Order: sequence, then structure tokens, then C-alpha cells
Amino acid sequence: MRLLANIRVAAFLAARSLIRGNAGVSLLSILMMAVIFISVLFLPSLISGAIEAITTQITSTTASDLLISPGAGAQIITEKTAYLDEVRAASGVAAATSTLRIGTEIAHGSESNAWGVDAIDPASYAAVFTSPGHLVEGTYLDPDDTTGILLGIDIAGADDTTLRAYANSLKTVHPGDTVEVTLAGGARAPFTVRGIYRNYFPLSDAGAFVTEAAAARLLPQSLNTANRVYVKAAAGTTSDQLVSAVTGIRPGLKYQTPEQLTAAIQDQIDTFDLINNIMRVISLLVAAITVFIVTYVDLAARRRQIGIERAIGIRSGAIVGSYLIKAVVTAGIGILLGLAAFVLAIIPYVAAHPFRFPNGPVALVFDPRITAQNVVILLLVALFSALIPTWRTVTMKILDAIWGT
Amino acid sequence: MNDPIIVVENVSKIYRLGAVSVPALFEVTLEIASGEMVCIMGKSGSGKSTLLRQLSLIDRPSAGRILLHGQEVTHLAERHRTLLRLSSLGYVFQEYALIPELTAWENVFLPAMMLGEARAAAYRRRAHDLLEQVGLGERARHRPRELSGGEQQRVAIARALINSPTIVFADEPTANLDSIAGATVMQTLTRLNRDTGVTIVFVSHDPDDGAYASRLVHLGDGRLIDLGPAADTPAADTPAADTPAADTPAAGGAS
Ligand SMILES: Nc1ncnc2c1ncn2[C@@H]1O[C@H](COP(=O)(O)OP(=O)(O)OP(=O)(O)O)[C@@H](O)[C@H]1O
Ligand SMILES: [Mg+2]
Repeated sequence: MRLLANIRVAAFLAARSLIRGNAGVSLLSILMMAVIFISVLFLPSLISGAIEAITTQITSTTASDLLISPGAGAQIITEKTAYLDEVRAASGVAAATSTLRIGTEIAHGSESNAWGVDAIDPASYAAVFTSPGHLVEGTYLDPDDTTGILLGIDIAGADDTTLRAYANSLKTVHPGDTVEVTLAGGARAPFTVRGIYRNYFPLSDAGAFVTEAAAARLLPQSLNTANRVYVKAAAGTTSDQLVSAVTGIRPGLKYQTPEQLTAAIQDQIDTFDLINNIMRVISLLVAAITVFIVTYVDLAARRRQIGIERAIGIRSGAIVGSYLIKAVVTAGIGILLGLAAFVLAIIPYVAAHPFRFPNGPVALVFDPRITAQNVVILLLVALFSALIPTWRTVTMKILDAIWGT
Repeated sequence: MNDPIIVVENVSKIYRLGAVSVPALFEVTLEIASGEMVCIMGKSGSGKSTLLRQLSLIDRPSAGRILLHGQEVTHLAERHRTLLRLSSLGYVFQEYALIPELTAWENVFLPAMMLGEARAAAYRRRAHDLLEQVGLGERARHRPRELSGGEQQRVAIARALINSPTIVFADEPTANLDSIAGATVMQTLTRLNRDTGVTIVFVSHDPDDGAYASRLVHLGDGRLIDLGPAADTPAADTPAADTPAADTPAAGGAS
């Protein structure tokens, strides 16, 4: 009963004060909370975006949804055409392709470096990976092209001195140029560059590909073998489901999911999280100080009024409540505003103009769970920051509040 | 009607400011009967406000005891004193005592709201009636800054009355008003005392205000001064109803 009356009076006083009080101060506090909330949201969603970018890059350019390699001790998967057909027939498989390593070094003029050269079936490779669609120069490979090669930008260089990998690349290679490939057996063979692709991902941009027809011409014994098989999942199928679906087809093979591959970058993610938490603490501190100052100044100007309210019998609980409600409502509106700006303006803007990270374009990822967590934390911070000065004011003697200096 | 509603026994008050002690009241003993309209008078610094604050439970005496309605209140827990202030006592301050964001009606209604839903529902109408009674029925929706000092003071009187208190305290309620507005405020108080029988204890150092009282209490250097009955013979122990109503024209008309 008393509590209910306290809450009613508190809500009444808070509402009147918010509506009829100093609009400028309320507006500024709301804006401040909005900015703080955005700053709290920004970094984690950028980090999520960066992590998602890496995962996307790994799946779409280097590992697909499932990477199958020869079992322990073996170098190749034999009868790969038959194997691929069976894999393609398995449930949840959208596409599958394979690669065979045929070369280990590429040279052009005085420049050379140790790069792997893989033989692919151009059609199925394009169905699994995005590189063929990301050409910056020239054309993709034809299936019956036995002398053409497709190079990643980090190998070709393509006169792009802004490339991070430029110094180690062939520097000036463009489509039409001829490069020397050192084959697995040690022999050398010339190839004509057909196209150059760029995925903006270091793990994939140093790739070189020729057709299986070319491999058959140069290394006939390699026919119908592969080093790696890549499986792309149909929509809604997880990598783990893929493993179960194909694991019975041929025994003794090794299966790796993108999750297992990205585990290697978990240390980086942990570091991000540390930075993120430091930034969050700073933002929350700024929020706490803002609410504290706003409440403190408000109270300082109303000390006498609060003394009078207490003198006529308004309970301290109701008075404290009114200030807490004011602080929480102000913070809540600010949070909503910040959230709206973040979801409706900032995320779409960054999606249209992504950040250029070393691992590819990064957009912001909105995580409802982390957002909800931050909303609660920020509201609690506002609550406690308002409570401290309010409590001090209602616990001073009425006499000092009304007639003190 | 003559049972004492306020009993003051040997009340002393010493303000302590660090090492300095300021004695403000010295063994004051006093009884006020229900329905009286008492004016506490005295020079500046004589302890008038101090006495009023002890009686109205805003402060606690250093020694002695106070009984309200026969109940010893000096040592009551603060939350009980708060409840007493809310439900049984009214208080009118010298100035600026309304909440600026609330309308006149809301200011009057607030203490009823604090008493709980049951009381509040019944008192919505009463807040309007009280504003009518103090001559501000038309100004219910106005905010304090839209009212004159005298009007604000009358809103404060209405607020003091909302919970049907038995005693209303007022510390120099007219000190900040010109003589016309001051007279209106005093007339309002007098009429309420006469019509409702509410006990009123007010402080003033304006001798004119003394005329509105049924009894004068003089303070000098923190002690009661017995001036002898001569000066205020008619008021000395007369119940409120017989007070000099003759020179108090109907309140509320003044702007
Ligand atoms: N809160 C306080 N702390 C310390 N001393 C006080 C306090 N309030 C009043 N006094 C002192 O107590 C004495 C009585 O003060 P009080 O305010 O009761 O006088 P008063 O009769 O109301 O005077 P006035 O007519 O000027 O309002 C004075 O000496 C005053 O300085
Ligand atoms: Mg005084």
C-alpha cells in the first residue's frame, strides 16, 4: 500500500518534471545516452563483423563448408570423379569440386616465388568458390584450355604497388603474359595468364589455377586424382550435417569444417574482446558520470523544494523514486534513440560502405543478445548514478535542506 | 473543544554548529487548545521559527517533550513523524513552497496522493473545493510561476488542508506579500479556522497580524514572555469562533 503510493507519487512527479521541466537538459541527457549507447554497441558489432568476414571469406574462397583431404599417410584421393559424383548425390550437398597440386613455383622474368599451382575443373570450381566471379583482369579458364593459368592478385602483382604482397609478387604480370610453372616432378612449363582474381583475402589471393586438361597433358599419371575435395552445403545444412552425410562414402578420409579452421584465429578474437570490454567500461563510466552530474545539478537546484516536500509529508521513497524514474526514462529514451540510429542508419550505411579490413570488407553485425545485455547494464548504471546524489539529498536534515546554505 | 491539542513541556532547543552552541529556546511550556488560532510573536531571532519547527515535527527539541493529540511525538521514529505530518498536520511556508512543475490543483492534490489510492480518489474533488475556498477555483490549471505571491500562498494553504489536518502551522505566511495580499492570506486562514475548527499556529512579527489571532504567544530570547492579559484581553483564551471576525471581510475576492 505504502509502496504503491510511493510509486504513484514518484511516477507522477517524474512525469510532470520530464514534461514541464527543463527540456534542454532532458534533451541533452537523452542525446548523450544515445551517443554512449552507440559507442557501446559499435565495437562489438564491428568485431562480430570482422569475425563474420573471416568466416565468410574462408567458406567462399578457401575451404567451402567442408574440406575433405586424404587420411593420415596418404597424399591423394583416388578415383576422384566417382567419389565426387557420390558426394554430390549425398543429402544436403549443393556442389562439390576438387583440386590437385601440380606445381610448386611460378616465375616471370627475374621474379619468382614458391606458390602452389592447383588443377581444377573450372565449372565445378566456380560452383563452389567465388574467385572465378571476382576477376579484376582478363577471363576465367575454359575447361579445354591446356595452356592457360588463373592467378590471384597477390601472385600477379598487376602493377598494383598498393598491394601489401606486392614486393613478393611477380609485380608486373597481366593477362596475356607468360609465366613459368615448376611442376611437381621438377620440370618447367610455360603458361599464359588468362585472368587475375581478387577476393581481398590473403589466404586465397595467392592462388594459381590451371585446368585438369592441362594437368592431364603435363602429368598424365595424375589423371582422376585429387588432394582436396570441397563440399558446398545446401541452404540450411550445417557443416556437421555434411560430415555425417558424406563420411560413409569412403573410409579413411579427413574432414575439416570452417569452424575448425577459424579456431586458429580464436586468440585474435579474445584480444578483440579484451579491447571491447575496456572500451565498454569507459563508455559506461562516461554514462555514469553524465547521469550523476545531471541528477546532481538538478538536485542542487531543488534542495529546498525537496526539503519542503518532505516537510509536508511526502516520503523520501517517493522523492528518490521520482529521480530514479527520471534518470531511467531519460536513459531509456536515449538508448532507444541510439538503437534506432544504429540499426536504421549506421548499420545500413556501413553495409553500403564497408570497412576495408585485411581479411576483406567488414560490415557491422547486430547481436540482439549483446545489445539486450548492454541495455540492461546501461539502465542499471543510470539507476545507480542517480541514486547516489538523490539519496544524499533525502537523507539530509529537513531543516538543512530548507533553510541551510 | 478545550482539550489541549498541543502540549509543550519544558522544551529547549540548542543548535549545534560544530563547536558552537546557539541556544534558541529555553524551557518553553505551552498548551494550545483545539480550535485556537495562535499567533507566535517576538523580535527577530527570538526563536519563533524554532518553536514552530519543533511543534510541526520538522525538527526535534534538545530537551523537553511535545504531545500532539495527547501523543508524545518527540521521540517518535522519523517515518511515523512523516506520516503524522502528512495526515494530521499542515504547513505553510514563508515563500516559494510550491512544486514549480505542478499546477495549482496538482500541488494541492499531491499530499492526498501520498496517502494512498483510496484517499486520493475521494480527494480529487476536495482539491478543487479547497482551491475554491481560497478563492482560486479558476486558477486550478495554472502553474506557480503564473500566480502572484499571494495566490501561491493561498494554494499552499489549500495544500496544507487537503488531508484534513487537525493543526495548520504557518511561519510568517505574509512576510513576502504586500499588505493587501497579506490581509487576504490572513483572512483566508481566519475563515478556515472559524468554519472548520482547524487549529492554526502561525508566526508573525507584524502586530497587525496579531489581530487575526485568538491568542498571542510572545517569545523573547527563546523564552515565553508573559505580557499580562491587558494588551490582548479579548483574544487571551477565547475560542476561535468568537475571534474578531468583524474586521475580516470575506476572503477570496482579492486578486
Ligand atoms: N538551523 C539553525 N542553525 C543554527 N542556529 C539557528 C538555526 N536556526 C535558527 N538559529 C538561531 O536560533 C535563534 C532563533 O532563530 P529563529 O529562526 O527561531 O528566530 P525567529 O524568531 O524566527 O527570527 P525571525 O523573525 O528573524 O525569523 C537565532 O539566534 C538563530 O540564529
Ligand atoms: Mg523566523
